Amino acid sequence: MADDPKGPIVDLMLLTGLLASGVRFAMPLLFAALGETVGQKSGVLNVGLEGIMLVGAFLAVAFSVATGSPWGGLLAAILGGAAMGLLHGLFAVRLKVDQIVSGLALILLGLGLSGFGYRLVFAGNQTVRVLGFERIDLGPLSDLPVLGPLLFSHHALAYLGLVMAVGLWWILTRTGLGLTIRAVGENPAAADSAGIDVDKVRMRCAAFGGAMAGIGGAYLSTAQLAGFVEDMVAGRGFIAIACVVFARWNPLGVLAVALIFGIADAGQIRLQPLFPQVPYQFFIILPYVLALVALAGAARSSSLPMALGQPYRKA
Amino acid sequence: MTVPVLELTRLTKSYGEVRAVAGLSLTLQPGEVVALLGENGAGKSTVVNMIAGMTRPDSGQIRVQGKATQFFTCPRDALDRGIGVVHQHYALVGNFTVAETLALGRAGPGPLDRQALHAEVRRVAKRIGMQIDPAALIGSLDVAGQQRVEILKALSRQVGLLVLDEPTAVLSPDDAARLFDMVRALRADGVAILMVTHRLADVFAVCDRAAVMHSGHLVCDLPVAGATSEGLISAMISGCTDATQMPVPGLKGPESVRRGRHADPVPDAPIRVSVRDLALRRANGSQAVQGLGFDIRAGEIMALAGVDGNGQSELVQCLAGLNLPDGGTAEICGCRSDGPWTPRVLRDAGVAHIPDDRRRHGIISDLSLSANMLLSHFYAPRYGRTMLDRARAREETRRAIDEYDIRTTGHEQPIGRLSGGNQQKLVLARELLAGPKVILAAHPSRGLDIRTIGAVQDTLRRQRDAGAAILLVSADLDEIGALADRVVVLAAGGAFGPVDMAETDLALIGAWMAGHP
Amino acid sequence: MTPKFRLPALDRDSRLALMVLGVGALALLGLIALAGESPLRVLAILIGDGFLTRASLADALVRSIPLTLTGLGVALSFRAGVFNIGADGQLLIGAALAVACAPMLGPFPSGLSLPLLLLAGAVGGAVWGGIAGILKAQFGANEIIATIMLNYIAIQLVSWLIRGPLQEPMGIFPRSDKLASSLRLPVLFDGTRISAGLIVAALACVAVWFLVAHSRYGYALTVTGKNPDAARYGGIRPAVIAFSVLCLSGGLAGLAGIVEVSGLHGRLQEGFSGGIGITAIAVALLARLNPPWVPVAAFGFAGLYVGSDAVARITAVPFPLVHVIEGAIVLAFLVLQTLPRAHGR
Repeated sequence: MADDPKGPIVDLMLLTGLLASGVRFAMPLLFAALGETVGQKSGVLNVGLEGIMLVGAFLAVAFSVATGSPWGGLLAAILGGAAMGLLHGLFAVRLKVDQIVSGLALILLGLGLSGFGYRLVFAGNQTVRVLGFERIDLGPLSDLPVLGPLLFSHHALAYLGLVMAVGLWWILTRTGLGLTIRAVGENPAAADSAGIDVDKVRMRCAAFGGAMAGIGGAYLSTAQLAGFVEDMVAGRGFIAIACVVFARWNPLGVLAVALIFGIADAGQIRLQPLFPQVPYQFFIILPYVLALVALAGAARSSSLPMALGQPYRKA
Repeated sequence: MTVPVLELTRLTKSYGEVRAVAGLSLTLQPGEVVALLGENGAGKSTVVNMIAGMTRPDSGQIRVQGKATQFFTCPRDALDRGIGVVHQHYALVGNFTVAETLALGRAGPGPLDRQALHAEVRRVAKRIGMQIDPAALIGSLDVAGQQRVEILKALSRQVGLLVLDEPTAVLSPDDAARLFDMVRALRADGVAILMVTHRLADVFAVCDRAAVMHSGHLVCDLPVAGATSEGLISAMISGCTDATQMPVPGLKGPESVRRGRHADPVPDAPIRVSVRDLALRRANGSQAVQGLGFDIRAGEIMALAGVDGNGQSELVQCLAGLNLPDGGTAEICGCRSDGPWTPRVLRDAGVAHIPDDRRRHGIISDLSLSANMLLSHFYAPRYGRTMLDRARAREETRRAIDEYDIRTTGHEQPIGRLSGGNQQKLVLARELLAGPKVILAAHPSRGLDIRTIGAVQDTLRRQRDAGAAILLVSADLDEIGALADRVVVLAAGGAFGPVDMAETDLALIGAWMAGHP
Repeated sequence: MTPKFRLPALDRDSRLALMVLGVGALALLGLIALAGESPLRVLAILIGDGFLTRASLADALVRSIPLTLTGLGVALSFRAGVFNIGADGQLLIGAALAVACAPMLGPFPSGLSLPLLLLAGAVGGAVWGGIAGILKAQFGANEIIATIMLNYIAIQLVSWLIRGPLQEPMGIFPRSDKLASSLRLPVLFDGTRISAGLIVAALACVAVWFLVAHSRYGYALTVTGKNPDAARYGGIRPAVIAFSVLCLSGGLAGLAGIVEVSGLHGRLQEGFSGGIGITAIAVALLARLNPPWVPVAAFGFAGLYVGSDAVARITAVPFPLVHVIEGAIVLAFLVLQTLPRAHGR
């Protein structure tokens, strides 16, 4: 590269751009991972996030076109995601079947429903304008040199994500509701003897997890990109689970880890031109390799909810 | 005449053919501390479960504060009626604080007021003179500390009756003394306390009355002041109804113990099991056993007596190669614990293991009898060189079914369908097939019907006569009396013995098990 | 008074389960109706064009070859309680390694070079599965996420390979060179695309069945999957089982990959396997993890795919409905498995 007298400033701009993009890329992961955190804290393992995100992405696009507003799409994604979460809860919690197999079935359903819906609704209509979320313009705040793009120009959903991360952390650690959820996931017998309906709490957490994954998918298709492409989720639903493990089931940790993954994801596009001799595929795999490292490093964690994945049967 | 806090009238409960509780009637007045005594299997836990709302009685009546109840259908019901229970196995969440534990299920979904919760903990604790830090994490507390939390949990609601299930089983003498102080404070406060125990020290230290159960019946119910420990023990062991008397002649004495032995053991038979200064930890990190030492020779049965929770399962797991000792050494059939020490190595050396938790370790419920027959030795050469000789396993299973009289539809039946006794017979058949030199038998007749118990004991005796060294873990004094040549008792963190059965009697063993030297 | 048999406590839930099944079936029909088609007609095409014509039977057989192989691998690993979701990636890497080795196999006599090619495929898949195996055995990593991450990595690796080192000499299309004809699995029946891969699949099925039913390893697998505690009691080491079964399972998937390339496509190109990994799971589950039943279930799902292709061609019902049907089948299967529990002893 030619010597650039504006070097440091350009680098700062690049860095800012990278971080700002990182936040955007992190959001779908964040929502899905936050939802899964709550679910796993209550003892429900949902490996079907990928399917729910696909459904959420599709519903958001379809209903944003139908209602003329991306918020309508978001609402549809939330309801659809919650419905799928409830379905998982029905099988894993009420019928007490293998949670992993039930989650895998959810992936198939999500894949099928989203693809079915997409081809049915949009086939041939490639030029349908999808109303996505606009980035917020906070006037003078958004125009600040570094902080502007970094902090003040994201989609409304992104701010929602940040708020939810903090809010969920607070709920889990500082409220009676959080106690209930944690007890149900750590020692359901203790919760039961304290008069708590274990299955009901788990069902609700599963539904919440599904709704959040739906939002994650909606963000992908109406905020980050504008439109639905089959297999647009590209494994984020699974990376979200790795996030949860790596962050030790702490919503604030999940926020941090999701941001790391987001920056890696955003970074791989930016890194490519810097290393033209390296094939671009090696950058694309960065987030996935990162997830493998996270899994290896965090696996033997004592923060694991003790009753995770085990259905509760009253003695 | 005060209204009794609890009135049990002719309570009965059966599990299948086994009568766990038969026509039990018991009354507790406010401010009374009653001990419910009995050996393992006498029915105490079942009574507790019925009072606590975890099991429905088959017949009989429960009156609380004078009002007859529709039987409790869930623990919440019992709680609501003022019955607090501290179970043997604590239902606590490791990463909660004490205050959070009490708040569980009672605080609303909203924000927790730390100050108020901590104050609440202190208030309840003060009532019984307990010292506790509301901000302490459950996981950081020792067993006594966790028990205190369980007591607080039970007391944090309005209780008229507090049930303590084997509270001193895993407590040190100091902690037990502190517990008794709390009990006295509660008694002064008008709370009735039912203390389920088999330890005489508890009874004489703090109880007003003693009710003794034997084989599901209440055999005596009398003020502690008028009871003697020998009388109580004899009531526990043999159901003798008068606990004020000295033991009735005919109670198993030294002479009758010999009934179980064919001849004196050969004094210089080879030592097969040797344990020196052994220390073991439980899964939660606490010390289970320390400084344990004994030998077992070929052709003898060494009984490891004691109430569950004193390190027996840890010892057996260690000797079976599933765990390494925390300190000290163990040696079996030439294998040392500081060398290769795995189940396979030990089995090859001639060790057989009859596990106490059959469903968890001993069998695979979904698989057939013949598949289960393979479990211990499937890698042995006798099952073929390349292929696994399933036909041979089937043949062995058929023979085992005949020899041990296993009630089953055939070797293909999933073993989970068999009754506990028949499952255990298959486990026995499997373990003894290879002609082991050492047999680790952990509670081999627990939960089995009388006939199977007899069969199991006969089998063990025959193995002993054929030269095997047997470690028998049991809490059943009858069984120990019938089988053991020597006895070591694990209790209160230490060990009594080993001692020859000829030089002791069951009453003394029972007393040791009760922590009564 | 007619004797009422005692309904056990679980019955409320099993009634719920049956209701869910019913609702699910209705929903499926509803989806079809949503596409503006008559469910009966769609069903007729699905079965008729899926199973009942010569062409579709042949097509189904072709598709069932890789499904059988990957299904066997998945069945093995699930049997041991290890959830291998990485068949897609293992298949790709197996095919890639084999194709990379292909030029070296030229000088070998043709009777030897083809088996060696297949072996290379199996080794590639085994290595890819083994990575997840090490992560699980050594670090306790969750194998579901690990194998899926490896899938995505494999896709990118192959994408690079066929645009780079393995690309055909002309350098225009992202695909490898054609395999030499001595390295191609011959077609078995003229006029169809059914290759000798069918024989490979059949042999693999026999081998896996033998392993499970008659070998010590198969016994250890089954015990570990059913009761890890009892497995330890019996002297089995679950970590070793987890690693080895991921290698074996990956090897079978890798074999499927090279069989597809050698028997069908002739070269390595993008997306040639099309997401077979998850279908393989459905196949294994439906076969109740029993090797002899895997080919049957594989054929069933293959026919389902062929039929769905026809439905998508002929009617307005989009192809992805087949995934919905797959998911519904798996869920229905789970539900039906809970029922014997309720009515049992």
